[in-house]
Amino acid sequence: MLTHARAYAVVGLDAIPIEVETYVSERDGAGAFTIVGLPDKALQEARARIRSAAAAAGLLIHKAVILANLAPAEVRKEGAGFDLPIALAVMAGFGWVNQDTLGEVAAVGELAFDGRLRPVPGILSIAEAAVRDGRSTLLCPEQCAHEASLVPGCRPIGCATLREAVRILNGENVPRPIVAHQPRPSEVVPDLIDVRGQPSARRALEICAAGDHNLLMVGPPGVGKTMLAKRLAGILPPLDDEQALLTTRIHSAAGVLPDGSGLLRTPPFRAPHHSATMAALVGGGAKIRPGEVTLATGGVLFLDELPEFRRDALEALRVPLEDGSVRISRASGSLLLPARFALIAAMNPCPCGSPEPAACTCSRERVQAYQRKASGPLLDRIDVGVHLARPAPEVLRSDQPETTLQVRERVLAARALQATRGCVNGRIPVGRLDELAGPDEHGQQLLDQAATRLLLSPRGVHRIQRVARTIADLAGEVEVGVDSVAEAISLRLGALS
Amino acid sequence: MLGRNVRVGGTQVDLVCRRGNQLVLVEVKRRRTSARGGARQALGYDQARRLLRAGMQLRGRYSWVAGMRVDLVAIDGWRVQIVRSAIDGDTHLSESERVML
Repeated sequence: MLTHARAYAVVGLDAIPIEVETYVSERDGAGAFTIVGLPDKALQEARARIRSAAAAAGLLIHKAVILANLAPAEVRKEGAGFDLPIALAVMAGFGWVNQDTLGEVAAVGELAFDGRLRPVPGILSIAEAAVRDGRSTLLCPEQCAHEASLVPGCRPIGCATLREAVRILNGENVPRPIVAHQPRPSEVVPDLIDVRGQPSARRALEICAAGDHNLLMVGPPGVGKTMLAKRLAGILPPLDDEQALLTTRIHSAAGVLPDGSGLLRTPPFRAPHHSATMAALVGGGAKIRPGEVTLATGGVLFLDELPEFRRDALEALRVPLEDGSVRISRASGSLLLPARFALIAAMNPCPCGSPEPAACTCSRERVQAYQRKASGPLLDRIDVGVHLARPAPEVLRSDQPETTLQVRERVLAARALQATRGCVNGRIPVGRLDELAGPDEHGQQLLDQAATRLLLSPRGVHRIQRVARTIADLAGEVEVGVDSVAEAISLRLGALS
Repeated sequence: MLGRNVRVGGTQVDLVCRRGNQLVLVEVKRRRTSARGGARQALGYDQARRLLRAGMQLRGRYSWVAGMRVDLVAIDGWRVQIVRSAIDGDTHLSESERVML
């Protein structure tokens, strides 16, 4: 008997519908279960899980001859999420599941040997695809139901076991209500009050948080570069609805979303180790996976020890930094992934990491080679640069810095001003730059002078304008005055020297 | 009952029977004692494979066949045991052969 079920394959951040057809040709024969349609190894092994889970539900299929086909045949199918739809289609072939009801729903989930359902990654993408596909009901593991319910129009039914899914399809059980997981207390972000001294770096961090600008911190080891970066998450505004859904979908598809975390409201903070490859950073692999730049969308990408990163990996950041998206092309296809993040980078002034330039033991060539690692084109995309020096002992003892809460308030106020213009300062399109962030007369004069004297690229001028707008917003000024422009220019120079 | 000791290729099938639209191949194994594992254990992997393949060839000889299985009659001394569907295609056939079952 020929039966059908609807499953979805996650491709990048989207999911495409997959028709599961099963043909049970014999119930009592030379037991053979075959899955065709480009399944990967994990999906091949679904045969063992389905046999065992079906037995746990009371149906012995080990002597049956079963063919399962996953259409369209040329799309590679991966992962254990197909367990549930295939199992349901097989059980429909045995008359255990009502085919008419099964034909109208979508299903996803991995089976355990005892019939329990295990959560799978990419639920948000799958739920969205199901709604587009005209199927509002999604049978899924109960741990995934809450995540799926975030998609408008989706009516997920969470099941604990295969048996429960079968009983619901046959109308013998009523779907259990979806339990909204307790939002786990978000990770405690350390407070800015811990960082003593470094007033200019704190200021730069605040400006970057307020306008989504890119920041480079240069300083000897142990002066607080990493400490500052780690505290950035605390002063960033929470994600709005649209952004939160996108970020959650990315993390869900990449399988890095913790169970039951619901919608991600805190901006992501990604800090890849400097051994990261280009594929890890921008995305890629035989099966295209989102990289760190995509995972950092809506938040911050922190590159500690910038010059230690591989050259090709750093250069690959140029395009996402400018476009806010990255196109990955592989033999298996081409995907456009979002990559809208603020870059925070930290580096030592030289490889030996001496606390004072005078104590440096590096040869000039080594220092140059080290600093060249962060190439011109990459630095050109960094708006704000600061040098951090070793604070004096009395500063360490007596400094009473502001708390995260105080800084956050100013950042939120500046962000609110930007919201009325409809665009974060760091992403004002060039065409609207003069309208939204044009400096006043004196400011313009200063900017023109700086452009000629400092050989600024047009992009450099635009970036200075954006930063100046943010500085004015933080001060609550309507016009971008000469002071704001001057500070923006000096911050930019800090990045290039 | 369709035949005894039927030769298919290089394989001899003890009994070939029909049950409904199903072709049933029967292999008879006999051991005097069950001391060394008994008759059920006497059917090895290679022989099981040959039997399944023989069955797939035999299907072509009869137009009514809709499916097949291999049963085992295990005789240990005086104890007779019939094992239905003794051989499973999953472990004894390759992917492409399995599709033909």
